[in-house]
Amino acid sequence: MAAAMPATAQTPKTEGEAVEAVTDALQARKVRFFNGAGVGIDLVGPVMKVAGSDWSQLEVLARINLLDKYFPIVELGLGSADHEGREIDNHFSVRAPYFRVGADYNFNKKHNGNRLFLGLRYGFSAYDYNLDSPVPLEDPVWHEKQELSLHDLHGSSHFAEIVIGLETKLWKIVRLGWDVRFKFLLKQNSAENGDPWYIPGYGKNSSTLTWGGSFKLLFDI
Amino acid sequence: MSHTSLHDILDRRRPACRLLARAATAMLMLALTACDDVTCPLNNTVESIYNFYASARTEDGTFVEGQAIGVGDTITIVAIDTAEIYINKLYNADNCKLPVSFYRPADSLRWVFTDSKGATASDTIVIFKTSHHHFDDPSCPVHIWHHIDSIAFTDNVIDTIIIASPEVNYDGLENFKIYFRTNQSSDEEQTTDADDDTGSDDDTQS
Repeated sequence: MAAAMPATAQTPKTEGEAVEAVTDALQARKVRFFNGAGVGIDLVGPVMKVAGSDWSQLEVLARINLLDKYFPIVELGLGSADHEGREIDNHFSVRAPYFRVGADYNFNKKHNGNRLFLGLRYGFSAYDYNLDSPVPLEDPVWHEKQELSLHDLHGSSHFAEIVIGLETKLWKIVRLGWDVRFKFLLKQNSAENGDPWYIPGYGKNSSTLTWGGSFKLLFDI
Repeated sequence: MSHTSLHDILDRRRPACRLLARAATAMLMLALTACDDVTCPLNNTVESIYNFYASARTEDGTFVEGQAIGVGDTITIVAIDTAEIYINKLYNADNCKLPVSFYRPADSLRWVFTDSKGATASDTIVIFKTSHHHFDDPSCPVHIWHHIDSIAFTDNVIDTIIIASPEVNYDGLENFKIYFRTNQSSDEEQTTDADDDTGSDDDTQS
C-alpha cells in the first residue's frame, strides 16, 4: 500500500496516522453519480411472526445510490393479522400486499460505510378484511339471532412516513441498518361496518399517527 | 512487533456497529412488548331519537313547522309484532328514545295517547330501514347501526313526521321530528290532546 502512495507521502508510523491516511484516501476518491444499487429484507416482521405476534409483515426493498447521498427506494411487503378480541371472542383477520416509495438522504459526508438517514415514504395498501364471532348476535327486543360473519370487507389506505435511520457496512456487500418511522394515516376508505384493526404496511389502526421501525439486512449489488 | 490490518483499523472506527446492534435489540423488544390499547366508545347505545313539536297549518292547509313541545297526554308505545311495551305512560315529555330491531326490514309501532279524562287515541308508525353490523375494535362489542329509508304513519294525533337524520348510531342525533296536532290553551301552554281514534289516514315520508 505504501508503494501506491505518492513519493512525497510518508509511510504511517502510528495507528492513528494509518487511520487518517485511509480516511483521506477514501474521501479523495471521487463519488460517482450512480453509485450502485441495493436490495434488502426487513427482519422485524419474521421475528414478530416467530414470536407469535398477532400481526406482522414480510418486506423487501430495492434502492439505488446516487452520489452516496440520495437513495430513492421502493419497499414491497405482505402484511397479515390474526387478532382475537380481549374478553370478547371477535376475530379479525387480513392479509394483503402493500408498497412504499420514497427516498433517503444520507447526512454522513464521509464515505466510510456508515450512513445516517432521514427519509420520506408514501405508502398504499388495498385489502379485504374479515370479522367473525363464534357467538351469534341477539336482538335484545325481538330475540332474533344472527351469525356474525363479515367477510371481504374492502378498504384501502394511503399513508406517509418520516424515517430516521442508521446503517453500517458489515462485510463486503453486506450491510445492516435500522430505522424508526413516524407514520401518518393520510386517507382511509373502509367498509360501512367499521375500520380494520390493522392496515398492511402501516400497522395497528388505532390512531392516525403512530410509529414503527425496521431492522434491515441489505446487500449492495 | 504487532501487525495491524486495514480491516482491524476500519472495525475500530465503527463503534456504531455495536451501538446499532444494541439499539436494534432494544427496538425489537419494544415492538414485541408494546402496549395494546383498546378504546371502545363510551357512548355506544344505539337508539332512535324522536323529538316532539307542535304543528301548524295555514288557512290553505299548508304545513308549517312549529316549536318544540311537551306532550300533555301520557304516551305508551308498543311493538305491534311482539306486543312488547317500549315505553309505558310517558308523561309531559318532549322526546323519547326507542330501540330499532336488528334484523327486520321494518318496525311497526303503536303509539297510544291517553288524556287526563282517560280518553285514548292511537297512531301507528312503520319505520322502513336497512341495518348493518358495526364494530370499532375486535375487543369491543359489535352493534347494529341503521339507516332509515322511509317512514309511514297514521295521522290521528300525529300531524306529520320528518326524518331529521336517517342514521341511527352512536351520534345521538335527532332522527325524527314528530309534529302533533295541537290545541292552544289560554295560557299558551302547548300540549297535544288525544281525540278518539276515528281515522287511519296513512302518510308516508321518505
